Amino acid sequence: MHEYSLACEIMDNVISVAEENTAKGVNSITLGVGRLTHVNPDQIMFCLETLKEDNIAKGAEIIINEIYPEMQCECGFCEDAKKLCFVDDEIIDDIRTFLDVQCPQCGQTMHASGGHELVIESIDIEQ
Amino acid sequence: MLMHVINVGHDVLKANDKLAARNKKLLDKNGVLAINFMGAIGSGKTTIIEKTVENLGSKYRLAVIAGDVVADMDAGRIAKLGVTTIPVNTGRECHLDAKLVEKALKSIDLKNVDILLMENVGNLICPADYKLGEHLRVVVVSVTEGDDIVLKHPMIFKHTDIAIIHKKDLAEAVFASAEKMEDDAKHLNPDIPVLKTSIHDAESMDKWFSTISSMADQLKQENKD
Repeated sequence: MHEYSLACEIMDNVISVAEENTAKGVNSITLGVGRLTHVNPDQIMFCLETLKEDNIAKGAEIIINEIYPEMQCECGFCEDAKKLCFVDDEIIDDIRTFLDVQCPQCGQTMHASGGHELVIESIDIEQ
Repeated sequence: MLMHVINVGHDVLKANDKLAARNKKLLDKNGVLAINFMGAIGSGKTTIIEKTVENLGSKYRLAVIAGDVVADMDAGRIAKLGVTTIPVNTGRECHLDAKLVEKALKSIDLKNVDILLMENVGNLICPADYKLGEHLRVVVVSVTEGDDIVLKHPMIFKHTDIAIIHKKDLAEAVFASAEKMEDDAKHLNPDIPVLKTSIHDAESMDKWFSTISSMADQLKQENKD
């Protein structure tokens, strides 16, 4: 369970950015979570919802965007991995989806670039 | 009241990577080969470290960082062999991180160490996300975990430098195939060495010891050049 300590670190950062900008409150916190990390977005959300209650971020909306890797092939072909996650409009929620992908152009195994992020993208404050 | 969006762009996991890079620089400066042992609870990490200390202790100056959530049983086992052992209690964490290692490195006389063995917390999930500053990532997995364990944890095998399939002598008793596990690891990561080991098979352990010694010698040579 490391989501709690990651959430604490995120909240510490949000508070210090808010204070540096003499905020009166925080309306929203937007995070990006890479699909190739083992970070569980639901748990991060739960921890942040709890942590925000006793500080300047009280009442802030927490928005989590998923960051997909880009699939790259040695032949030069690239594709957003998001396209690979859908079969008949149904999303496949499995990390293996990105690990064993053959290039549609040349058949080689593609390499996933990115998707390892846990980033505080932005915060919306009231001044 | 004014509303204002601030772009922050702070990556919490990258912050660990940066710290890990600093640890690695410090280790390089002192010519220390650092190995991060990852694997499930009971996979045999501590035993492999003990055997490594027994076998390579006369040729190399060794030190060990032993990570555990609480208690220091593993550190006690290793320290008995007369090697510098720093126990690291992660408290509530399921993995070692670069900050914990940075702190542990302060209690080790790095100038007088050739190989640093770092035993991660027993877990095949979170350690994959956290670099420590190591030169070599080793995953230890035992046949007793079931022979589909490799495919169940693709990320850690994708991001390792060596895979050890341990306790191979027990495979038949637990209806597991060490060969299947080897194939799965090779499928996920075709370029890495996969060693099938058992402490009851000296030859298999020797392969591991020679892999590590040649890597330590290579690093020493690179530092001289």
